[in-house]
Amino acid sequence: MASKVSEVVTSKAKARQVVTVKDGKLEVTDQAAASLQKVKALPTWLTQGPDAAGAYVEQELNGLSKEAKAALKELAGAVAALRDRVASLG
Amino acid sequence: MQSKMIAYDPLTGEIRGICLTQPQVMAWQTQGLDITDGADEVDLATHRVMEGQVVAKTVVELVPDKSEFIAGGEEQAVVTVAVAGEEPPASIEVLVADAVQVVDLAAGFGQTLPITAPLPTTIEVRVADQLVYLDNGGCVITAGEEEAGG
Repeated sequence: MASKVSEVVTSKAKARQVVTVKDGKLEVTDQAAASLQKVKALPTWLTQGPDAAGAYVEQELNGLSKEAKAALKELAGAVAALRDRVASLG
Repeated sequence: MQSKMIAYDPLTGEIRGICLTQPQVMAWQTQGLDITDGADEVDLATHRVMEGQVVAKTVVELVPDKSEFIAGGEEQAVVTVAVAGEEPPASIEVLVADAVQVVDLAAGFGQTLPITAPLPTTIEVRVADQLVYLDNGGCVITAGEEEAGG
């Protein structure tokens, strides 16, 4: 069912809850819960640590074209050089 | 019935203190407050001063049709507003999660718009004008999570 936000009423000073008039009802959205839901909606490879992320990237890399792999390798080299440069700054 | 000295803001009528001693009265006066007599039961939370007279705040009841509902679904809650007194106003401002809502009243009774919540949260409903009205803490509605397996 299509719904329409007709008016944003206000938000608390701490922005914890936002109230909107939606379809003739007052919809109260808890911002903290909304943020948590966004995190929960992230792909698992992004939220389960470096190993999961590494495995995901590896899997994705396997599906790339030869040219794309070469471009990524070049990019990784540039990032590594930049990292070393930053580290050398102390 | 005992009386006591009431210090109040002459601009708003808000009672700011109950004076027990003369030095205390003078201290309040130096802060720009006016002093009047009040009955023993007079309290900062329950009374105010109108045209120099101590009067009880108008009692407002906020009663939800349900204190809990499941967030994210079709469930909703409606709060009934009941303003006491012989001459209730035509409308009253109510805070739903700090958002001002004007509730129209008929013979002192009215209702908020249906309240929904897409995600679990606790919603406080209060009267906006705490100086004139006494809502005894208002009411709280909990939008909870659906029970697993239920």
